[in-house]
Amino acid sequence: MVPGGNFYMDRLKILVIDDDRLARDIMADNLAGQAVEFAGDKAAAERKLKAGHYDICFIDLMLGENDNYSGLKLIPLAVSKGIYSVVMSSCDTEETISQAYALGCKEFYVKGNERANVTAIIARYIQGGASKKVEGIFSKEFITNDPGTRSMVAEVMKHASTSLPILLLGPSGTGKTTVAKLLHEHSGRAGRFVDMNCGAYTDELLEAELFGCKKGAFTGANENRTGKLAQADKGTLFLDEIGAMSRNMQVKLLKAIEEKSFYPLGADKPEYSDFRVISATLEDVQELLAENKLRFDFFQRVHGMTVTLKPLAQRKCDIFPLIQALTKGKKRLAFAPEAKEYLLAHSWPGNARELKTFVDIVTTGTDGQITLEIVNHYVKQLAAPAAFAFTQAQYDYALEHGLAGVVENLQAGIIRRNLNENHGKKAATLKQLKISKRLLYSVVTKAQK
Amino acid sequence: MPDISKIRHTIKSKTTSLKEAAEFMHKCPDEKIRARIALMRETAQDIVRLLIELEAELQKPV
Repeated sequence: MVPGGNFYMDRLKILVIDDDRLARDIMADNLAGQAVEFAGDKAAAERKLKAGHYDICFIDLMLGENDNYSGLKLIPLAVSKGIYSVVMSSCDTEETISQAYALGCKEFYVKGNERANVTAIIARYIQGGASKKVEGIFSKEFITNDPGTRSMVAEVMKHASTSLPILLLGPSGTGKTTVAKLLHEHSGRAGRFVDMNCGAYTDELLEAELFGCKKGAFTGANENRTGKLAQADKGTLFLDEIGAMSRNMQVKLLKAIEEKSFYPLGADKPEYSDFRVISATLEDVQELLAENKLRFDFFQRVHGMTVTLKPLAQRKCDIFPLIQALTKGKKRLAFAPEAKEYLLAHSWPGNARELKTFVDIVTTGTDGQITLEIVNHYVKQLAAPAAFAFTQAQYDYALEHGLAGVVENLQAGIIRRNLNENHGKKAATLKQLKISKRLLYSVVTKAQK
Repeated sequence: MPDISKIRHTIKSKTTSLKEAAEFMHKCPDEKIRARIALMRETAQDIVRLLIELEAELQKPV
């Protein structure tokens, strides 16, 4: 397979040339999931290089205890076959490194951190062919014509193959989850994309969801359960609404992110997971820090790079391309000029999500000729606050675990917001929300933990 | 005659493999662990042998 091919469906064909059996065995583990072949000496390597078609070749330079760095001689052969050649050697003299690069190797590594290096090399190889595809995402996966948004997303995509933590900011419906998924798809990581809405859980439930639990760890834990951290092994963990997490929970998660190990509830042995963290919040991070809701050390750990996605109101050039994409393969819509003007003037507080709902409604509810009256009617309907609105995550959680946890969390969220709006004046919150002192103090105490 | 720099290189290379194998031993699948330990032991023996060779080379008069 050559760069430009089908990167996400085929296994890469890889040749590892190393005389050390243990090193080959470790590489077999590191390259699990790819089609890997091995050669232990120069002659075997030459045979395989001449006969086979490989995507990547890892070359050790000294092939035998008294060998004369014959690995160097294999580089031109691999390069002539169009193979992405990577030297992995214990030899790190400048002369050898320059020689290897002069012979055409693409990357040179000193042995010692193969697990991380191999992941990054594969991702870079994939990205080499896929970099052209990044431009393509703006007309498919992340539709935008806004130059600022395009350059910001393209910039963050450069870090897709690294393990740099990314923090995505922006109001609801601006595409944070889409960007997180794109980063994962372009990462070359073999594991899954696991997302988690931290705002949908109480502290105790969030801990069980993230770290997993052993049978009998608490009432109702009838079986061992794998947490999101373990599910995201070799993949990406996307934490949405991190501002909703308690400080206590942030400490636990920070430790797991740093050490890549954690204890499931009720476990006496740690579990390990090699996950990359992408997080998101719609809240103002500086405010969260100032109000001590977000620990500075946790924030430092999750914001390797920060991307702020603009609301739709600030990129109105995207409204009609988005409508076109949303109706692709379905009934197309024809907008009267006044209807277009109305849509462009609307502020779209629910962003792309609101636009999608609008398109769904008018696609099914009209004949496709969209007049000003139709737009006026449906946009106003959408703008009306939905009574008892809840998120999909909350609904899913309630179905799985019962309503109580979701209700408790929602209650706490409303109380915290009202307290904020009243600048912390508890008396005002007690009066406005008509709640008991006991409930108010239990929420405040939990938030301070 | 073995080159001292080559012995050093091989010691470094084998030590790195051994360290990597030890570091990620917990990730090694159960069905592979015995074979992996045997390889690690073999590598450790190679390292000892190479160190002895290196000592002998260093003791030789220049």
